[in-house]
Amino acid sequence: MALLEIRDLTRTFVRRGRPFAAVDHVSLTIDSGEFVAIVGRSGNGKSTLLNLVTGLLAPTSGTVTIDGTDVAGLDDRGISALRNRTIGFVTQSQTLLGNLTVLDNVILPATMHAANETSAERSEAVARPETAPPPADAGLPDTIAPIAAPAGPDALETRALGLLGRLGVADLAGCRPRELSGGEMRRVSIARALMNRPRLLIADEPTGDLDAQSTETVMRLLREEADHGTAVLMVTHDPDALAWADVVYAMDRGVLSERGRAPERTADRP
Amino acid sequence: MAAHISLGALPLENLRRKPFRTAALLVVVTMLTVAFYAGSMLSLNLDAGLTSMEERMGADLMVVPQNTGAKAEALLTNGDSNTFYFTNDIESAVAGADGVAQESAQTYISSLVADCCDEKVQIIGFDPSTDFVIEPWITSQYDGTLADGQAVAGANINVSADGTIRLYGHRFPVVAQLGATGTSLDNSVFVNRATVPQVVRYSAETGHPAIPEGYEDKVTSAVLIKVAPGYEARTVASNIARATGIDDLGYVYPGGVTASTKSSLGAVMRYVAVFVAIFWAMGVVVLLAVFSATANERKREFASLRIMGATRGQLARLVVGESTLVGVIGGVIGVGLSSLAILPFSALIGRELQLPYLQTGFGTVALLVAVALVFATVTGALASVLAAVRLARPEAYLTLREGE
Repeated sequence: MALLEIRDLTRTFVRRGRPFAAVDHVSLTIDSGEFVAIVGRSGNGKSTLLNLVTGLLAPTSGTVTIDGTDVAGLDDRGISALRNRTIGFVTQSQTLLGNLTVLDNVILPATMHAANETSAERSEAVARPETAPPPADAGLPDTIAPIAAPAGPDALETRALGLLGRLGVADLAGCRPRELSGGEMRRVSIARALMNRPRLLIADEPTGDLDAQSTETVMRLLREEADHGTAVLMVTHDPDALAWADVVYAMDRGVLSERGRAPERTADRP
Repeated sequence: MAAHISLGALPLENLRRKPFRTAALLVVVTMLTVAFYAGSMLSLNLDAGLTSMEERMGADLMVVPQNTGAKAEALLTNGDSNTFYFTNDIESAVAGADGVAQESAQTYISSLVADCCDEKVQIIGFDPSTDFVIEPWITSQYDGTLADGQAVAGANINVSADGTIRLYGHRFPVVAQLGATGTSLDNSVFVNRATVPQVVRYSAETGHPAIPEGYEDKVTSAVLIKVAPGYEARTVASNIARATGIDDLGYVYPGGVTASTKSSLGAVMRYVAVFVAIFWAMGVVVLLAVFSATANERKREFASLRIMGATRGQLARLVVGESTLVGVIGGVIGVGLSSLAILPFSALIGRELQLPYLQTGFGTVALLVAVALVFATVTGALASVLAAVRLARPEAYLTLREGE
């Protein structure tokens, strides 16, 4: 089953008294581990499409299904929980909270919706190891089989610092957003979006403020997330970023069309 | 588990990180609370003073010397101490008038602000055997007989550590100190009338004779009268004029004094209520404007929280939480400052107002503190309602993204 399934999605706005479709009968399917990029000129409905996928906007018609759940059928609490647990969203503009440190900005999503589970459960879910531990030797007695290490007292902090480190901004953990450059804020936003290990990562111009080296760092991270099973949906204008995607779509006046598929990835390919 | 940032902690963090804005909001809420709490406290204290004055007014009529009515009224409310007296035996003349059911003479002497006296007080000589105004009150608080040369002190009198008060160079033993009434009686020293000649003699010895020599044994300042059933106080006053043959006696009607004081107090309390209401309305408008403007400035922040998975209710609670915190903190500061300004200085406030003013009891003050804190908290919460309602609308993200 596809992780994200968009069927005949339309969102109409009214401009100068006339309705127009910002997203026009769009259909799209993304599986777990698939990295999809959408390109197109500004104002052609790409960001609107992302907002429809995340439930921040309601569609005029059509459906968005994430992991088998119709987004339109969820109430505010349900869609908020979905955004918090299943979706990671990197927005086009800077949306870090100015009153919090970089580290707190990244940790905050992990402490939301905590009413439904204990802090320890949440910490363990968020801070689980990046790769599964090696299986126990079948020949050894059960009593000495490795047990899962409990989440440490700062599991969330460890997870957040790890993400910041992978994005090259761990040394800024104690800074406030106003002390950061645009590119640094962008990378912190990406770390925040990944904090809860989303199954669907949505990125709106994730490399917009970045130089070539930072772009590669970010794209490599997104690729790794996809390779670990996260479905990635990215909107970009950056030709360098497109090379990391599995499928590229173009959006023109609200209409989505496939532009091309990448060849089978090889070890030396980005 | 280390304590991590959470949505619940954001209101406090947001206030902490915007110290100037927070301070400005706190000043507004503090001022509102001061106006509400202090205004209510003053009104309650004035009301308590009036009630106390009514309770102390056992007489229907006071007969006083010509042109001394205002001085006698000041005794009943909260005015300065005075000395005035008749030079004839007015008590027996009044006693014979038709409609007088009960009468008792009193003598009023003011001490001096001088070396001879601890402080300027009103000395009231009364006759325990006939008195029906002061004696029941003293008896309620002093289980004994006031002997010659002894004194009972009003609530505001500073009694020396050795239990005496020095008046006209003589130390009078104080056998009891009365509870507060909120009237001039709190600044009075009560002696029986047999002690009055001693007071006069001591005053003469200090070179400041309170009453001319020769009158000390028969001096009377006022005759307090309880009228017989079926008689009006003004009718009895006319009867007294006829019985004594003196047309220009002064008459004070304590009921009338109470009524006029009540009327003055009513006006003061109405002014206070109107002032508080207008001030509150202005303050709420200011707070509403500040929180609405702030919500506009913070669209991106709220959008960010929505993206992270905050519900509309959580956003509304965040905004209301911030303003409620401002309300609570401003309320506590306002109540604290007002209490410091009012509670220790009730005697001074009473003197300045020249009205019966009695500090209400602990229970009432505690209740008022609670009401003032609720008032401040609700005011704070109200201030963010508009912003919260806007945030709670479906598709608030469309508004939140403006300018992105």
